[in-house]
Formats: sequence, structure tokens, C-alpha cells
Amino acid sequence: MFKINAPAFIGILMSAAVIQGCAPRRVTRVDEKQQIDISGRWNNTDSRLTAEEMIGSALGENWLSEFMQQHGGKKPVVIVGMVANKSHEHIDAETFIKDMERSFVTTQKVRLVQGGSKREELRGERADQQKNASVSTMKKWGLEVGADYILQGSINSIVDSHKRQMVVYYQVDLELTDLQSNEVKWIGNKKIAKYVKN
Amino acid sequence: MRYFMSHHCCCAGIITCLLVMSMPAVAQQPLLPDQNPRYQESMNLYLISEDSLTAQEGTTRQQTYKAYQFMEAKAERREQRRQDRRERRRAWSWGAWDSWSYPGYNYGYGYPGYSYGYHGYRHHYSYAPAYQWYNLATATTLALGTYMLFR
Repeated sequence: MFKINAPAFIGILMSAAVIQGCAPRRVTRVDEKQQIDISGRWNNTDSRLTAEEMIGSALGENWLSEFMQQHGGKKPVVIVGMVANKSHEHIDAETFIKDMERSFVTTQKVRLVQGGSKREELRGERADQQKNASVSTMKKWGLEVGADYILQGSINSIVDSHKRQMVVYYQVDLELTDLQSNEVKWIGNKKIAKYVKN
Repeated sequence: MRYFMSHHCCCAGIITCLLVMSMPAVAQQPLLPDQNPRYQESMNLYLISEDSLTAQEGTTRQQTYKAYQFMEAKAERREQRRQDRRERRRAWSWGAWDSWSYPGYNYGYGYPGYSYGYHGYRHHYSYAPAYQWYNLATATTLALGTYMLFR
């Protein structure tokens, strides 16, 4: 009636466990622009979309031409300030900020100066040169380029979830502020909404 | 002599004048049109904390919050229930040992036989709980053994 060959049954179970344990992990290279959403969290696609939107807006809007008109064709100098992540996820803004910085440098429409810890390192190196480099190659103090604008930003999110459904909304805001007058000259934002169903 | 004196006085005067003139040049530059005359008060305030104000440039400050997500909250509640159950079983097993008190039974650091008079702090140590996954495995093995024996 009901007959189980127990050793065979245990053997099958054990072999299944061994096979499962030995299953090789498969890794495939994909195109960086391919949209792959797994968990619904912030991912590389969101970062890329944000960067594209910000670059297009920052280099295409009036503040740039206005500045050049007012300063006899001189390009504005920008320093990157802090971005506050006030969302519910860990997001590093450097991924899209670096894309923006790169576009500033490659298009040569905006000049960029270092800030934060990298600037500290530069000054440290310059200080070292005062004692160790030859006089002809030693770099002088007090000749840094002063920034005209500072780029600051924030990331916010709203989560609405019930049972197996969830809507996540991200808003990334970046602002360029005139360092002399504190006047905000440009605000770029990217809004991303996701519907996740588990 | 008079010539030397006058020359000396002249040099000292020039040096003093230069010093006096250079000091305000450093401390108080002439105001630009429409510039706030009290700008130095603010400047001095910020010059003190300049390093700390610029240290976070180019970084992302993480000020994240915990959003309510139904499925995650459910999973957390389930995990909490499991932990509570584990704790209850552990407490029950210790309680049982306390009442039964196997004097010769040695477990871990010699508990509970060693435990007389140390009830106050012995639970602070982390011992293997009484019911773990291997209990289930033992029970299964015993059941299979019994089955094979009597089939």
C-alpha cells in the first residue's frame, strides 16, 4: 500500500542538496544602458537617467549664456558641494554627479574646480612641494581659481505601499548658486516613479 | 651730525608709516561700492570654521529614513516572532533544567550541574539553545529509524 524505500529517499534528498550546493553561479556582462530592475530600489538606470536629464538641463539653459554675456565670454567656474540623501534608501550621488562633472569638462562650457577632501590633498601636495620640489617647478600658493557657482543638491523619496503593491517616487534636485550673491541661478530636477508588485 | 639725525629720523618715519599703512591694508580693505561695512564680522566668524564647512564638499550626506513597506514589515514581524519563539523555548528549557536539575549532566561550560547558586548571572552567557534545527534532524532520523525497524 504505502511503501517508501527510506534509504533511497534519503539518498535522493542528499544528492539534491549536494547538486544544489554545487550549482555554479552564472555571471553575464550586460550593456550599462540596459534596464534591469530586480528589487525596485534605486539602481544604475535611475542614476543614468538622472545624469542625462541634469546634463541636458545644466548645459542647455540660460544661466550659462547669461554668465558669458555678463563676463565677456568668460566660462563660469563651478565647485561641487554636498548632496543630501533624504530618501529611504542608501544612494550615493557621486554616480550621477561625476557624469555631470565629466560633461562640464569634456564640453568645455563650464570650468570645474576641486573641493572637499580632494582639494585638501592638492593643498597637501603643494605644501610638500614647498620643501621638496625644485624652485622652478614648485607651485605657488594663492593662485587657485575661485568658483563662481556651487552645485548642491538633495534626493528625496516618497513610498506608498500596501500588501504586494508599492509605488516609490524619487526626486533629485540640483541647484547652482552664485557664490557672490547667493542667488540661485539654475535648478535641475529629475523625478522617477516606480510601481513595484511583489 | 644733524644730517645723520635727520636721515635716521626720516628712515624710521618711513618704516613706521609703511607698517601703520600695511596693517589696516591687511585687516580692513577699502569697501567696494554697496559693500556691507560690517562684512568683516561675518568673515572672521566663517574663517575660524572654514575647514569643517568645506569638508563635505563633493560628498553625499546620508540622512535616510525608514519607509513603511508592507512586505518588508511583514517579513520583519515574522522574524521577530521566530526570535521570540526561540527565546521562549530557551527560557523554557532553562526553567526545566532548573527544576529537574541534572547534577551530572554537563553542557557547554558545565551547566546546569555547575549552576547551583549561580542563577543570577548564568543566563548572561550564550549557550546553545535547547531546540535547534538539529533537534528536528534528530527527530526525523529517529522517526525514519523507527519506520525502518517496524515496517
